[in-house]
Amino acid sequence: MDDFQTGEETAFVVDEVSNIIKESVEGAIGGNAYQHNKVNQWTSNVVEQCLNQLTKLNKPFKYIVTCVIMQKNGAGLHTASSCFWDNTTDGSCTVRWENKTMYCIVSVFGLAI
Amino acid sequence: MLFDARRVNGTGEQRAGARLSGKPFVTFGGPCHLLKRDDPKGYRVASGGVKTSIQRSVVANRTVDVGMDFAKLRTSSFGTDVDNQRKPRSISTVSFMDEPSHTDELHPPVKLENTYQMSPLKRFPVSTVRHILQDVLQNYLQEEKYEPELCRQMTKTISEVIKARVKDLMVPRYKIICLIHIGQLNNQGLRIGSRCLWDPNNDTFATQDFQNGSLYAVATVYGVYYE
Repeated sequence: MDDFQTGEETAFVVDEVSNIIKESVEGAIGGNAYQHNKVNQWTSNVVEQCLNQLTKLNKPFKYIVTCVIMQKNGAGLHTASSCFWDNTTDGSCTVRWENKTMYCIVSVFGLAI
Repeated sequence: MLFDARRVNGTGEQRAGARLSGKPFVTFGGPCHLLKRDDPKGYRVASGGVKTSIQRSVVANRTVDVGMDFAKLRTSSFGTDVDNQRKPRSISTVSFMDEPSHTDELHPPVKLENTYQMSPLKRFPVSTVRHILQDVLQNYLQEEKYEPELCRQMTKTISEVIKARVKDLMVPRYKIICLIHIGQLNNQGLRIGSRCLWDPNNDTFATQDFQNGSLYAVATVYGVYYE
């Protein structure tokens, strides 16, 4: 009965998650240029890798991972989120990544169980 | 009315008590009974000044009793006093009134009972939420042209509005996450994908897109069951 998790171990640590996101994006897209037929694959890969890494943290969270990939051609994109949850346990992390030809915005929401 | 009576009572007791110091004041059955019971001498000694206050407290007692609509109790309390004069025992209703039983200082933290509820009573209403999304997007963006500043504000506003509208559905035990993207239509490619680690039986989402001449918007609401 004495293995209750406390503090750090059960909290949503934004830095940790942000690193995971960056690695996943780099891993999935890397230096590729925007290709229409690849985007589908890339989004899946980014989300998949993120989720894989997050599950390996072994924390009591449900996760929602979203990924937007947009071609760069001068068009604008705005993203906002609002949440109704328990501020003390739940958290979110959003990372914006870009290369010469595209933007990639990944958001992770972690909801304590 | 009760409170008034209590206050009057209080003064009555104080006065009588002060004059007849040393006399036990057990109940509020009325100082007059106590006096009779305990020591007729004492009564006599103190009579000159005390009378008025006794009179007052009796009057006060009566008002309290009437206020509580306990005519029966009143008669019975008088009866005991007459019957066993040696044993002052009864606790009249009025004395209860006078002793504030609780002080609300130390309350342990509220402990909730187990609900033994394993699944949501009401599932997240996906189609209703989708209608909300469509409604909000249409209302806010139908006539708009893409402008960076406007859309920056608009994303925040819309996400708040959607959250509020979904909250108003009052789905218990669900956490809500609203995500909205607004972008300029410029012939670019775009892909939005999401994947979740959750309980597929209870957790769900609703999504809706919208497009007009110059901009598009995609709104997604995730409803995550929280036990």
